[in-house]
Amino acid sequence: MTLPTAAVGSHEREYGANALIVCDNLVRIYQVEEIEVEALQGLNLLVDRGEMIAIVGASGSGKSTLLNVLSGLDVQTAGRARVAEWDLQSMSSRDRLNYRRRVVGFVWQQTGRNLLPYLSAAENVALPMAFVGTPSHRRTHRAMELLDALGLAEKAQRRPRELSGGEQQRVAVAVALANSPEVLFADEPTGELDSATGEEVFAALRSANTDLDTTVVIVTHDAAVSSQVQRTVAIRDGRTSSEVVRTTEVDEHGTSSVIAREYAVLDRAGRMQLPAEYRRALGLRDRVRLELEPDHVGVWSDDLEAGAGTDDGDER
Amino acid sequence: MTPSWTSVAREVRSVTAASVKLTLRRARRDATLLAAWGLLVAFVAMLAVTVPQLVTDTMDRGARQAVATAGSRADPVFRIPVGSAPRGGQPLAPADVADLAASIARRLPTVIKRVSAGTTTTVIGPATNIATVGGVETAANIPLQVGMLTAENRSGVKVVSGELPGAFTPGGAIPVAISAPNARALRVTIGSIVGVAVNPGFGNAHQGDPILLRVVGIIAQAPGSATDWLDSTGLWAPSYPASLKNPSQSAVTVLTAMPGVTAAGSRYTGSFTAEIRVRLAPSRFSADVEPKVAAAIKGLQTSPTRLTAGVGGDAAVSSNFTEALAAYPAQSRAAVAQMSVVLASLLGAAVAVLILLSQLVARRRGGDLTLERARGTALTAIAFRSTLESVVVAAAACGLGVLAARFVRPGPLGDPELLAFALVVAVVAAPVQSVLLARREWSSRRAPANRRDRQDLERRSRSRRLVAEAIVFALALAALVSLAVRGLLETGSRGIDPLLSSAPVLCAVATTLLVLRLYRVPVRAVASGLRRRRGVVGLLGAARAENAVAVIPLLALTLASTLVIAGGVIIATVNDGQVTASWQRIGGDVRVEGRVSDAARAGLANRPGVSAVASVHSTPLVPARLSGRSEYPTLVAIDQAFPAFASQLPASAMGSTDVASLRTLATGAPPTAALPVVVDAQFGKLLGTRDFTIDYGKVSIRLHVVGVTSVEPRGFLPGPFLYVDRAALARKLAEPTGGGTLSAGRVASLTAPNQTLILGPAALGAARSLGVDSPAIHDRGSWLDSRRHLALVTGTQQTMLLATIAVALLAAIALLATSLAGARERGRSLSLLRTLGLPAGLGWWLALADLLPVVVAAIAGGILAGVGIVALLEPALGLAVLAGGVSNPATVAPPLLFVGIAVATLVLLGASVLAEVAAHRRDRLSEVLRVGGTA
Repeated sequence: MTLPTAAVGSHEREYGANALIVCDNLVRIYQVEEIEVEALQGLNLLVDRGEMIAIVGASGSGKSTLLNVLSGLDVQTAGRARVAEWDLQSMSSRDRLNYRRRVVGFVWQQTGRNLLPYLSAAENVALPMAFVGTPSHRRTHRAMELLDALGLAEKAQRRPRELSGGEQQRVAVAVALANSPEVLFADEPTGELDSATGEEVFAALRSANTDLDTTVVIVTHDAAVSSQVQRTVAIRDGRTSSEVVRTTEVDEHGTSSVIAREYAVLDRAGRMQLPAEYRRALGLRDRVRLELEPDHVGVWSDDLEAGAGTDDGDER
Repeated sequence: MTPSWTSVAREVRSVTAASVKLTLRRARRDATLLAAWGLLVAFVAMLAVTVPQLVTDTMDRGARQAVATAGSRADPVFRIPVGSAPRGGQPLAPADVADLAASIARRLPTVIKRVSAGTTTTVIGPATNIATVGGVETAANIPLQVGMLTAENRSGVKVVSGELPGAFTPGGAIPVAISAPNARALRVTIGSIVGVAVNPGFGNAHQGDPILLRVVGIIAQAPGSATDWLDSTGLWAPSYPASLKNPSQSAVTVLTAMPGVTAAGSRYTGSFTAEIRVRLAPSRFSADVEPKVAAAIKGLQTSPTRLTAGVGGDAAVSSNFTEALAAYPAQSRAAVAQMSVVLASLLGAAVAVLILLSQLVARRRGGDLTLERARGTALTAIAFRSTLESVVVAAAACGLGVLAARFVRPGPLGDPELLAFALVVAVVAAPVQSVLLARREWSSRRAPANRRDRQDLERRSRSRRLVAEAIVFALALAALVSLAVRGLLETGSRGIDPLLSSAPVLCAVATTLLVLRLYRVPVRAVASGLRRRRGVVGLLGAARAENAVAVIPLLALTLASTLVIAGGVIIATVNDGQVTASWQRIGGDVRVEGRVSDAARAGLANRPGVSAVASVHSTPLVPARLSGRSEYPTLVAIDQAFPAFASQLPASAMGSTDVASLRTLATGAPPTAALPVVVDAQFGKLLGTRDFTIDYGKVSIRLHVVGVTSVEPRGFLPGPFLYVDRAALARKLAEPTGGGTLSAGRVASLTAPNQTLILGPAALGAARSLGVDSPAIHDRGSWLDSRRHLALVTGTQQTMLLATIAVALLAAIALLATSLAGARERGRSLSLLRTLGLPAGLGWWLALADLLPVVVAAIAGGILAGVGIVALLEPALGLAVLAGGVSNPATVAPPLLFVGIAVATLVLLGASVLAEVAAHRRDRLSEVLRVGGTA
């Protein structure tokens, strides 16, 4: 299989060269008659192989659009997007088909949207393998293997309507993992589920990440989900605004705790978004003064504007 | 790089793997929809088989009726001299006639053998006058022919008294048998001796002694033997010749045996003739066979000796087949042309409905296809699976349709082209729709980043659409123009005319595109009114109506309404045209040909139920000497009642009711002045001056034009026309000329009326009271009745009616499918609106707002296309041919047709809306809002 490598030139390697997923100034504009909607406005994102990240943001911030672009279901208007060795901008239709088959897996929010209602759980899992031409016996074996790993082996022959919502989503995870993709994208996978069931689904996703070394990208509103991943990326107005990185630290007593640190995202042009509460607290607006210190950059309010803080979040 | 077998195998598996399972499972889930689809395909297959058979049946019935109407005139008849070979060759002896007849029958061209009902052989002598009866010379001019009694026709004779003639003493009177009516006419009995002249001619002039015939038997025709005596005119009753100028038509025929024929043949100056008639069986004809038989008969006429092998030398074959069936080819082409329009619309509507329903099937599976595409299925695989299902369903449905067609019309199947076309459409419609839908999902088509580039793309897309629409309009216009110029197809009467078939479909497509462009204007006007109403119903209706019309449903319904309207207009136009034609062909309620005495004519006008009587003497092809050239118009000498009579007729009967110029003819021209004449417009254009001369009755008559008229009886007389006053013409003919003076009898024969026209409800009874032969009486009611019962006319109308019923069913399916396509969305909208307080029972309003615009638009388009097609293509449709008149009938759009369409539309709309209401009755509000529909 010939992979489109031409677009991945040497001059691009400086940004995200080692990452599995690279979004560089990604733009996606939708036009419906005379109305234009800029769903993505120059989004930058790097995801390393083996990571499990959550993407959060308000409705309309561009999360689902980003997922659709990265999963090959949509094409960006401008900017660069790379997943593994695949340049998503220069793929042909055939390349895109292969990409969707082998490189990515997708789980939608609606349980009914992930599974064909007239196939059993095992048959649904085997279906993507059939699309890539896997022989029948291998399909069956792999399907049972995946369902067993997700605790659904005894329900392999059941139809979706005979499964609970959580079970359906776990089967959907198995379907997404059928062809051993490098990345699994999940768009609000627990959105229709209660917290207990959602936890089961998340456990399945985590299992995919830890046991199968699949990179997992989850779009979610669920704080319980976003608080359990290594990294949470916040998107606002079509751009990444901040990230929360969670690390586990063990103190001198051997007690481990999860430390979450929030970072502002710096794009390739050096721009970043200051959190609104920071700006309000210090009255930062319009312009700020920067001072380079040995180990940090100081951001000071403009003395002329002191005491007239706003929360409009404008950046320079 | 050459793909390896492994990769090829993988590719094949990627397309075909799990296909059977997916297809079967999906089919099971959508069983109801697939069953409906299958029934539709079966219906279309049945139509594809049955309708062409109806066309063929109509054409075949027309051919059979034409041959039956022609009767014995169409039979080819071999005429061979018996006993002599005037131009060389072997003479035919009376004893060999039967063998020759059998030989001819064996050697007939195959196509004639197939339609032959056998041969009839007659040996008949020359017609000569009876010279003596009982030894006494007779002054009566009664021609007599002697026919031969043979082994074949002997069974057709019944002996009433005496015996059949047999052997006799040479030199004695020849024994003959005669029918009782002939015996009475000649005043002979058994034993009487009749002497006939040896040579044909007028009066009793003969050379030598007459041939003596002795009556030995009185005979009658045996039942069921009519075919044996077709060429024995005057055998069973005296037959008087229509014209004294045709002495070969005998008044009396007697029969004798072969020895008698031999003896008489040696005495006559002329020879006996063997007439071998090949009787044609109308029931064995078909539209295909008719032209082949015509060609074969022409071949026989050109070289009859092929079949006679030179026996008798100078054989001749005569037949009026082509003349007797002269009207059939044009009528059959007209019928095919009209049925082509209807069939094409029906087929177009069927294909559109197939596409519409296949869209429904594809949309039902939209979610599945989206998921499959997201999981990596190729479009090829989607097409493969859909085609797999399609082939099975279409094949089964077509089989069912063919069985149904055989049940409706047993017999062999006709040409399979239409069925094959229907099968292809049924097989590919659903896969194409599925692939198109899947292709739209996750199309991964990159939109340009630059706004101007995006606008350019949009502009180019609009331009492409405009160009495509322009091409459709151009094609439709080209088809209409070429058909209007071409007129009725002149070559071949079989098969659907492809150009004529494509015209209504192209027109309907063009009309659909036009309606799509224009419908928003009136809809917005209505919508703006609705929006101002209080309440939400108007606003909802307006919003939905503005976007309600989609291409395929509109096209299907437009084609359906085009067919109904075009068919109705064609039927109404032909029916109305037939009434007009009846006036044109008869010239009144009754026309009597031949001489009617003045007294009898005067008595006609006074009979109750007779409103007007007029008479004319018409003479066609009268030489008229104009400056520099000659023309040959019809001279019509009218009586004084004619102008008033003509003014009472419908204007279309004789072209006009403006008789003012004709009234001026009755002024009475003074002697030696030129005879006043009124000419028709056609002749008027040929005149350079008002004076010219005609040769009439060997008299040269000067005419002076006093007027021009539009009254033209072209239905029963050939134009152009010259009108003169009959009395003035008689006076002019009686004047002495350089060549002498015509006798009173001659003047009478040149001016006495030979056409009597009668108007009134009792006209037929009045005509019959004149005592003339039935063939001379032309009754408008009978003419109209026979015209309306022409097999081609009734068959065409039946086909149109059946097509109308079929297309009405298709329209109902189209409307139902359109309703179902939007049912889910309307259910969601209704549920959402119910949360805002809309009563549940108003769901029908949403359905009506969606369906009414497309129905109204389709009917408007159908009226435009249907009436337009008939009006513009009237010459190509041959409406005048089937109407039977001399001019193109005026297009008639009966109001009842539109009323019927309106009623049917309301019924269909009502049924669709009711179906919608019933479908949403079980909707659970919360479930609809949550998942978009009820499971």
